[in-house]
Amino acid sequence: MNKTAKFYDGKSSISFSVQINPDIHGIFVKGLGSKTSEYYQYSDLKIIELPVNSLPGVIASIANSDVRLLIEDPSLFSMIQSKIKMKSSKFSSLWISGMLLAMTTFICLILLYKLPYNYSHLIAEAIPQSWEDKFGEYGAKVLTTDYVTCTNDLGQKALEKLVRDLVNAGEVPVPVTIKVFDDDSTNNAFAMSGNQIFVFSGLIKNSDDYDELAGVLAHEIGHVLKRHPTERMIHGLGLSFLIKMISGGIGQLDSLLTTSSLFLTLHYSRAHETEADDVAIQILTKTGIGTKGFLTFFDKLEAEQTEKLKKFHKASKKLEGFLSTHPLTEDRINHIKNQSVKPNVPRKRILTKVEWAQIKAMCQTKISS
Amino acid sequence: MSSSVNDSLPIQKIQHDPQLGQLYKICFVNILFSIFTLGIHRFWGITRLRKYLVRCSMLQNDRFEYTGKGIELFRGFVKVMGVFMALWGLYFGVGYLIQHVLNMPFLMKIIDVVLAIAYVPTLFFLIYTGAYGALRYRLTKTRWRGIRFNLSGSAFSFGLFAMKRVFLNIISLGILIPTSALKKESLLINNMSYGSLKFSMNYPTHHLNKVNIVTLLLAIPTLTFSRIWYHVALRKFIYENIQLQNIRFRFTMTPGCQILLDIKAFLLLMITVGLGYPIVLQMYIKTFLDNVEIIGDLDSLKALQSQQPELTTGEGLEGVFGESLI
Repeated sequence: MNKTAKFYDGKSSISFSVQINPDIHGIFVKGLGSKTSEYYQYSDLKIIELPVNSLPGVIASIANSDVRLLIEDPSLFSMIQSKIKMKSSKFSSLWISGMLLAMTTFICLILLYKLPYNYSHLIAEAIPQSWEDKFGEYGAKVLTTDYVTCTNDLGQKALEKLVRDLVNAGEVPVPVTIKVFDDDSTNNAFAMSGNQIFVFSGLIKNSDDYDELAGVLAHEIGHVLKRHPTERMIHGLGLSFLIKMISGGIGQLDSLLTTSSLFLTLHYSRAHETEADDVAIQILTKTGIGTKGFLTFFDKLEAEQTEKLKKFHKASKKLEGFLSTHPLTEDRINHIKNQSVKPNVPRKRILTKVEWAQIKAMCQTKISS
Repeated sequence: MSSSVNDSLPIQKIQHDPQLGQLYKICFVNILFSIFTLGIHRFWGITRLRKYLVRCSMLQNDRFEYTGKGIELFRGFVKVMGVFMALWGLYFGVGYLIQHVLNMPFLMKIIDVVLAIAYVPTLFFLIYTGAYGALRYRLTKTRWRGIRFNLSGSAFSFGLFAMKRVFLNIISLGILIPTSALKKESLLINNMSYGSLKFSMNYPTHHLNKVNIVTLLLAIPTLTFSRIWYHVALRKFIYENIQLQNIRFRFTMTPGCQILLDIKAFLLLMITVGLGYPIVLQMYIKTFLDNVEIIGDLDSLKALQSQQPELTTGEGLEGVFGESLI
């Protein structure tokens, strides 16, 4: 059976129109310029491309990887193909699939159970304080352009006194700065890189006594102590890097993975909140303030949230727990109650009534950027 | 220059005939596997796509062939990631030592300042070095008529040269952009070869300054659309000055055609929420190849096989800094 094919000897770009004659062990290729013929055993051949539509099938020599035989006739190609051992390529694809599966499982396990908690924590620990201060400085700069800062001297001094006591009890190795933003509608506070805590005036306004404010501040000090703000920043950067690696620049995949990663971030964030709550309980116990005020704050928060959620179905609460950056307030109250121990120091007032009044009046003096 | 091209010479174009269904199948499988393997499969996916697209390109009834392997891209990526991890580790280790053991924060500040200054030039250097290495890999893996393409020269030298040109462009407020682009391209093309035959790009002078300055000035009011005129003019000039023995090249694309193509691609991606990506990819490749004319007798090219061996690791740096599909 003689058929024509195109042949490249791999030494030059000259194409040879050749006659090929397959037998049991290999194929004769005739018409190679000065050479009369060449014989290639099937064991020395490998399939490069299968014929698709009008495209010829391509066969290469294993011994000389530059040699190419292009066969247009599909029946001739499939006859030769059946003789060429496909074992190695099958093994190779099986090996690659197995390797991919093993690596995927490994990465999933690390990603879901260990990595998000440990790697960012380790990196955050290694980041020099001066860098963290710079991140914080930049963040504070941005915030102070958005908010009006309350600057009443007496109130600020009283607040700093409270923070100092809490910081000492928490054995925080760095000084912590505190600022109050004039926003009565926000009943919250937050910590930022560079050991900074920002309190919204709404929190002070809604606190009946300083121990409620102290509870929230102790919680934020917990974030500072555990370097959570920096850790979260690293975690976010790590995730976005991972997403870029996975998506490989394919925009739609990038968006899909970014959305999926949000759930991982939320879970991560809730773990941090619980950790900060635990530190707060220790600090409040050690200072003798106790967790009563902290619980009162959460009770108020719970009442506020219940009011907002009244119109929704109960199931939405479960969903809220899943989608929230913080654990459910109800769960946090139970957690604090379970973790709280009887203070080993007698309950005492850290701030006088006058000092508390000065804090309450803090936002009567403000600076706007 | 184009004026020197003899009109009686044969003109050929690279034909490109991929099947949209096959292209969709490859892209879909690639995305699916990339998700399941957390991105590791993308090296194999990109290779599969390249193999298909290159194979669907034909010049004088001879198909191009891409022989790259996914494992080679993966290996390159792992190597570069290893180097980066080591550098990060060293950085954090030194930082920790200086801050906590030696207690010399001022030294850390000096290191920070030095690194901050070096950051941007280093980034440019790495991007260009990576692009050169990646192009070298892709060329050694591409064959026509059984003969490999190649790119000689040092990727580091190119990276350094390109980095310098970027800063000259900035200092000159963009006036030197065409000169820099042509110098970079000629360095690249003069190092390129098809087997034993070297490509060359020589030009005594260029006429791109006017179009560069005018389109730069119009860039803001036209939302950078004006720059398309410059880019098309640049490409035309480059192609008209490339030579491979007695073979010359011509780029026939017009700015209008390019704008129309960009608008069509943008609308298609918008309407299909990205699902039209394979169509857009095919559109760009086909339009580009339809506008490249190869002038001269290709059968007279007697190229011997390249003496440089095929690379077995590729695109590490480019794999880290971004991915180009072809």
